[in-house]
Order: sequence, then C-alpha cells, then structure tokens
Amino acid sequence: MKPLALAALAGALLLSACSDTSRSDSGAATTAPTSAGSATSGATSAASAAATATKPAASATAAATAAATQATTKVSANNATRAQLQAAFEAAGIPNASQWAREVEEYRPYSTTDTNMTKLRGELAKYNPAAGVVDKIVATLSLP
Amino acid sequence: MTTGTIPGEEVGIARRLLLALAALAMAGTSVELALERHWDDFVKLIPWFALGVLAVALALVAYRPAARRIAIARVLCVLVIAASAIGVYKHIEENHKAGPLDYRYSETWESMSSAEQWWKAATKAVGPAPVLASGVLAQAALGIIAATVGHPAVRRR
Repeated sequence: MKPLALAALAGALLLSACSDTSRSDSGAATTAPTSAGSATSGATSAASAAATATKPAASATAAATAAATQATTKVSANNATRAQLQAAFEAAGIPNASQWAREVEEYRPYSTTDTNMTKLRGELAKYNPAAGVVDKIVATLSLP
Repeated sequence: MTTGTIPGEEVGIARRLLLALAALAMAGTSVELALERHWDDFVKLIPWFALGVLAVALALVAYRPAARRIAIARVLCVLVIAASAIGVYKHIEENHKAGPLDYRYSETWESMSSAEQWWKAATKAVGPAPVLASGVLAQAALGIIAATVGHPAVRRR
C-alpha cells in the first residue's frame, strides 16, 4: 500500500506542476502548492488538475469570443474595396464571401440615412440566400 | 380573288408605325435602364451605346432617307442585334454566377453538371438578371430594318 500511496502522491505533484505551468502561460492567477508533502497540497493539486481539464472548454469559449469580435468588425459599405469586403465576410463566416462582396459593391452607393440598409437587403434578397445570410452581411457593414 | 399591291401611302404609314414602335421601345428601354441604374461598369454601358446607335439608325431612316443612309442604318441595326445577343448572354452569365448564392442550390451547385447549371441560369431558376430583357434592343433594331424593306429610296437606286 505504501508504494501505491507514494505513486499517487507523485502523480498529484506532477499534475500540479503541469497545471501551474499552463495557467501561468494563460496569465490566470496561480496558487502554487506550498508543501508538496502535505495532504492539503495533494488536494490543491487535484483541484489544479481539474482546472486543467476544463482548459479546452475555456479555450473554445475564447476562440468563439474572438470570432464574434471579428464578425462584428465592420467595413464601409460604400468605400471598402472588394477584397476588404470579402475578408470581412469570410471572418463573419459567410459562405461565398467573394461573390457577396461583388454584389455589395455592385449596388453602391448606399444612403447614409438608410441605416437598416433596406436597399441592399432588397437587392440581395433577389439572390434567394439562406436565412440569416443577409443579416450577417449587413451586420458586417457600416455607413458611409 | 384578286391580288394587288398595297398602295404606297399605306406602306408609308406602315413604315412610320414601325419606326414609331422602335422609338417607343427605345424610350421605354432608356427609362428601364435608368431605373435599374444600369451603368456601374463598362458592360452595363453597352445597352446605352446600343440605344445611341439605334437613335442614329432611326434618324437616318426617318429623316431624308436615301439608299446610302438606309444601308448605314441597316448595318448599325445589325450591330445592335449583336449587342442584344451579348446582353442576353451576359444576363445568363450573371444568373450562373449567382447559382451558389441561392440557398436551394448552395450545397449542390458545384456537383451539378455544367449543362444543368447553365439551364437553370438561362431559365432564371437562379439569379436575378432578366434573361431576355436586352432582346428589346434587337426588336427595335428589327423594326427599323423592317421599315426599310422595299423602301422607295433603295428601289430608286
């Protein structure tokens, strides 16, 4: 039993070390175990290990947040180049971004008073796009 | 049953009516193009050039028609008919480009045969461009050409 307990303690210490390193990388607050040999330290290490296990989920959330931030990066409906429009649409996850960029460019100019971009919505609707695509495109654009 | 020739006066009226119908088609097309703001790039300016050419052809036939003027008008009208054909093609091409944007075909467009894609574009099953709209230019041109058939100015030559 004693070798088994020692092995468990060693494992906990190892997990604790890994967790500590990764949390330091991410810039989160860290609590280093103060007494490697104590039971308290083992428990803390186990908690750290659990925190490490939740890291992928946290990373996914961070990625989604970053994507959302990119999606809301707006480009000028009237002045952006076709390449800029395409890049913005791609960042927003709009399929066929290059063709939509071409269409947005084609129907210029857009009135600055048409804040809901009714004209553009009407023109793009003629293409029979999937639900939500026009909203995504408009959300990517700003006036002028 | 007797066969006879149509009196010259009635033929003259028919010629003028054909020219009037051509002028009406041209006027209507101008308004339609303006409403569509059909001027974003060079290709979209082609029908405007065609209308200008048609106006010249119409003037040549309607005002002091002579053999040479009528011959020039016919050539101009043939050019407009060619431009009209290009217009029909460009509209089909626009619809073809719009195929993947249509939610009904966005997943399947690439796997469809080329013939199927072009058929859907030509029949306006996809895309917003009116396929035969530019045909009105050819109609006006044919009207002007028809007004010159058997024209006295040509027969006198």
